[in-house]
Amino acid sequence: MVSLSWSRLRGMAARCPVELLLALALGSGALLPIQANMNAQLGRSLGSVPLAAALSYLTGAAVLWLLLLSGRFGRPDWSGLGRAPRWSWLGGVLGSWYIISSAYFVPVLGTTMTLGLVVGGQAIVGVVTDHYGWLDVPRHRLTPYRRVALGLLVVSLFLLMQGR
Amino acid sequence: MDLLMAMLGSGSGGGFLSVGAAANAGLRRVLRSPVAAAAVNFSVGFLMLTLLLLLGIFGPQSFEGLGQVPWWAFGGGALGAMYVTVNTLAVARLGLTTTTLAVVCSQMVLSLVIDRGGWFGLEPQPLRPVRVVAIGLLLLAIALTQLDRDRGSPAAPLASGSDAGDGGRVRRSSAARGLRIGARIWGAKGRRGLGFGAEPSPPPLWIGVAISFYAFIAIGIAEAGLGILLPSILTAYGLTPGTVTLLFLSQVGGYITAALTSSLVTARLGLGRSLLVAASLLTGALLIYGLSPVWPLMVLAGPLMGLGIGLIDAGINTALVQEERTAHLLGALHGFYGLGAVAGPAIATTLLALGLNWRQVYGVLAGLTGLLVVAVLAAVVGRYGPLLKRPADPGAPAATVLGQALRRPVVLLFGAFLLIYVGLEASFSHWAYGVQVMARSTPPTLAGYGVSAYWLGLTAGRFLLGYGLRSLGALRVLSFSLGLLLAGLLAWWQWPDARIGALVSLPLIGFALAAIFPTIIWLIPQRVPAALVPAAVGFATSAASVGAALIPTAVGWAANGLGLGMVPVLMLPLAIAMVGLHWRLRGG
Repeated sequence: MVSLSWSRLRGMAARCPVELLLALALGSGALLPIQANMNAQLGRSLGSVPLAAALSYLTGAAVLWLLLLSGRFGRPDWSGLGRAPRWSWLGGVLGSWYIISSAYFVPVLGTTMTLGLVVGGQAIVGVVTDHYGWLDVPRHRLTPYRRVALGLLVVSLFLLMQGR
Repeated sequence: MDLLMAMLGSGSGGGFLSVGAAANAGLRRVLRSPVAAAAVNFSVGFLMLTLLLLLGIFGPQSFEGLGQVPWWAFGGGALGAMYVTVNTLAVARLGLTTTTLAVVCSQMVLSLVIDRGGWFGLEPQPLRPVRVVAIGLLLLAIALTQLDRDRGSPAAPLASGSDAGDGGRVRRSSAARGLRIGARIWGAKGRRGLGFGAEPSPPPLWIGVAISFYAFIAIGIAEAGLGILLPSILTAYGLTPGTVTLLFLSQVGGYITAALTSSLVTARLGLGRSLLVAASLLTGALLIYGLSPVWPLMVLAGPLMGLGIGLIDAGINTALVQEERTAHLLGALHGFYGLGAVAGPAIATTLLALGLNWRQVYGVLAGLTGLLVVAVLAAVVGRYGPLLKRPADPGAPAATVLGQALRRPVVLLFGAFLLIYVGLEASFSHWAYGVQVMARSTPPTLAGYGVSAYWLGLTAGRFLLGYGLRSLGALRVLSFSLGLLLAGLLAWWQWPDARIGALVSLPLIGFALAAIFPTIIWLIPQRVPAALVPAAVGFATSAASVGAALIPTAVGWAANGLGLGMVPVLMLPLAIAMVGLHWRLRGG
């Protein structure tokens, strides 16, 4: 019953036009700089960025648990939790560093530069983990194509710095 | 703020996010629910931070400020949760590639807007073009890594009822689907056009033809715009006319590299990807021209520009001439190059007159070639068949094939022919105006009309070429053209009167020159075994570019000593040399 509504939601997503989903994806991307700035403001008002990050995680977790309890997002297989590789718990720990650093650097560097650096770091580390297949990621070797991409990334980050 | 610190700080934030995402994928797999995985993720993050705060790692904390927090600032966490949820819905249908691109795109654009408007109580920062360029490059880089992720995944099961959170295999397959959807949105027309799905009908040719024509317009503009900008560059860096020729010579290195490698590059990457690389190189070089703070950097960018133009030139010529359905378009292709070459100086002059400086004009030119990058990227992403095709497999390593091609006298003959021809054409476009105005004291307007008449003759000749090749055959077209060329040059030399120049000799020379380049390219597959054609065309077109850079310079030096009035005489031996080569061509 519960999983039915999740599949109904997915079914709705599958039926709605691609353009709408693209708009949705664009919208979700737009949330990120706003989120970084909100967290930054929280950190400024509280006088502590880590505290702000903790509060931010608390509200985020609350919203997600509420969504889960609403039953519209499928019935997770909680028994699988024990079988999960131990490092897979690390996601939240590593993510909190992102929340802290973005909240800390946005007022200092500006939103564009902070998020540009974040995206750059994300892509570079992504290429490296893909290359070695760390963390059970499907392995993708460093192709000439990706070398060019890395070069472009470095150039674009350099140009971003010039903008200051 | 120490920049290194900032880079390490926020860059590592992104890096950790990437690792975190990989870790989270493990959680999603076992829980079978992306939202549940995110909930666990957020809870772990909260618990860990609370623990650290309680342990006093971050120093003493207080909740005193809680009263002053604006209400909206508490929304950050909720937005994060929303992001995760919406994202999983989108990824399931659009695929990872399209979703990632969309997210990064809107993220960066909104960041620029926030910075510009000084939202959230920050200092407003003006919108700088450098940043827009930087973000464009960033998007291109992300697109490249994501596209590549999809490449080489062996026929992932596309039809599986994929769960977004189901880890690697499905992730890749949904990425493949997303690519196609992305291609559908970004302009390529309809399902059938892209050859995806089950429809077997061949992809329409016009997309490739349009891209080829636009590419030639773009390189025409990029090459010809330089002449107008030279005086400004000269004054900006305090150069002399002698040192500024370094700019042309620096491009020669790129052309030569292109001559020797274009067939290797296309064999390795396929046409579409090598065009993508070439157009990016060209755009990059134009950007460096525009942004470079010092003169030596401009010279260093020259080879990039030469390489980009050379690869585009060789790749497209080869592709068109090898395909029966398109070989008759060669004349039009070079006609479009002519159109670009006419438009380039006009565009540059207009922009300068509008008050832009030469750097900004280079920015505009880079934008025009950037469009080419986007078009080729869309075609590659959309799996547009004709661009993905690799040249016929010669059954031997590309380098060996190149060696075999270069050992054939006829290939060298074609190369020499084009080297001289393009050198003559370029000398003409560089010096005709100067000869008319300075040596013959023609009024500038009349001289301008004369040069326009030359280009008009050239363009008309190229668009008529298909007809000529059909009714006369290639060799007769060449004989006819060379005869007209000699007559035109003699007339130009002997009748210095400006009106005769504008009405008769200059358009005649243009018309005579029009056929030579496309006809030679058209002849190559007739005289060279199919396996060697790409190498031969690549060599010939790039030899042509070398001629375009060297011969006008040589003519300039000679005219320096002998006087500008001697330029028509200097061109006669070049035309006669072509007659000699043509005679060899007929004989063997």
